[in-house]
Amino acid sequence: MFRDFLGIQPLLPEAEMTSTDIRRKRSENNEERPNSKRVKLEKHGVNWSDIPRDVVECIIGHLSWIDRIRIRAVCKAWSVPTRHIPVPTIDKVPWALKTFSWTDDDCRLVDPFSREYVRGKLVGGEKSELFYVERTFASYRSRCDAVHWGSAYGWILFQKPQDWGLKVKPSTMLFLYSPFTTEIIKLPELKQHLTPHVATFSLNATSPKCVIFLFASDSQSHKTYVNLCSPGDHSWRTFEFTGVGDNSVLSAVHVNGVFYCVFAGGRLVGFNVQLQEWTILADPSPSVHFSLRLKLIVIDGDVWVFDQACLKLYRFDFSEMRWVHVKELEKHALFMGRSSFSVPAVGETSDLANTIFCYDCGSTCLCYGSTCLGHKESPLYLKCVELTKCAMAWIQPPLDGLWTANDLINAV
Amino acid sequence: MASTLKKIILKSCDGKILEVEEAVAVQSQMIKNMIEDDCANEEIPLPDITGEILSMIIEYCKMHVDGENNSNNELIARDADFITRVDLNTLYYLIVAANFLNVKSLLDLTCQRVADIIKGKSPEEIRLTFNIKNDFTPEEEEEIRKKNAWAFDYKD
Repeated sequence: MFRDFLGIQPLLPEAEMTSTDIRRKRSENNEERPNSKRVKLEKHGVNWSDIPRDVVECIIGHLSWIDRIRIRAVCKAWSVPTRHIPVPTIDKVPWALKTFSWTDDDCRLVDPFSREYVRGKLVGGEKSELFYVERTFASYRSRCDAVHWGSAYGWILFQKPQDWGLKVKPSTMLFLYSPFTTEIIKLPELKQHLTPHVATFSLNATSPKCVIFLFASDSQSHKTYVNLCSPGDHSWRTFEFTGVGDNSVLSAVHVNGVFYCVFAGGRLVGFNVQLQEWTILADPSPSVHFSLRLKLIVIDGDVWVFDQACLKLYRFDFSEMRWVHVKELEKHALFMGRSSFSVPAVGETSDLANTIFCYDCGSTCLCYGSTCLGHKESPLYLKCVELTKCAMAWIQPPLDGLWTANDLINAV
Repeated sequence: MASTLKKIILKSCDGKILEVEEAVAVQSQMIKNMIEDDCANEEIPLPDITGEILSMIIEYCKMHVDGENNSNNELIARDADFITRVDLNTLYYLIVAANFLNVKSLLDLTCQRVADIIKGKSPEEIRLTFNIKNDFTPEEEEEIRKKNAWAFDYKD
């Protein structure tokens, strides 16, 4: 037992004690100890479900997201709200969507711990669920037969694949899908002849209010439209997009009620959902030569653009209204794709500082800046490289609790 | 030298009396507050902590005071050595005592240990490990599992 090897010397030497002290001590040794509380408790076993609430919270503070969910089913005392307890930074690393097949009803996810989750049917159950399969992950991305437009907070925006055998081109069908709840929310049909160029949506932990933003052109009238809807809507709200000239939109992101779109040459336009109006924030830049492979990303509330052709990052400076080339990413890791996510590289993720993982430009894993030496040996870095190889979309895990289809549809 | 340092006297629930240097005792925020409020001149009774657990906590605090000049890695290694030798029952008493005495670093260490034991286990395995009674009704449990089925269900 522990007490033997610790060999703690208790109390005063006996010589310094009064005779009462000694008598008391002896009586403790001989009589009280065998009946002490400790012995009694050991006989009945300790009760882990009666530890104080703040201790439970302290334990939860050391757990990752999936363990936090499981612990809720242990007992009532351990089933406490955890929203206010910060998650380890490693949980902020997005998951990879490895497979999505509309026709085969197949969906596979991989988490940053290299664990794979497969959609399947519960034994004897009606409903499809996502299952956790222990570390079998080794292969690359398989396939996706729907068009993936973007993802946010556990939900993904897809476009249903076209049936090429049909003579009359059907209207475009978009839907939101959550691999975590395996629910699908169908969105209203788009007007005929409209071809989407860029689509994304807003959703975060604080509210299930979700707005889908779609930039599309009409193949007959050659006009361009901004289309908005929310889950549960019966139709899209449509706004003709004029006065911008070249309409080749490349990427869109959402920050604080504004959808930002970047166009060829680095033109940046913001569409305010509440005011239903757009503002041109920057015209094509004469000094920066952007390629056509631009991707927008939000880092700490700022709008950034990543040029995948020359692998350069620019931050939009709202005070000077221009793009500024940034050479150091510092304490961030970026996961670029149709929807891109920035992860703080501190604590458990500090090995990821200054790195960019980009699945759709040849699975590029890039050190950005001067201070990412030694990353190549980091297990987490290597796991993220594997994640990048199998990803066809990044999915932000809903760390503060999942919004269900009902939450999204009934949000006000 | 040592004898001139102020000592704090602690008394465990089973009557064990431990004399501790002030620098060691103030690792406990609770005792530190008592000293600041001038309430620590007589022996401090600790009604819920046994002598054995108290000895371990003092040993831990001593290790941290003595190791102040050591490198961070060395201290982490010692912490790990300390905590991996503790069995589950002892861990329980250590956690409760560290929380009561408010020894932040020990509470963190013990909670980390519990979290390490929980990691990757299913709710059934966690209950079995910690000997916890399932106090949910089947309906309540079903409700919790339904919300996050993917986190609970395995497929072979």
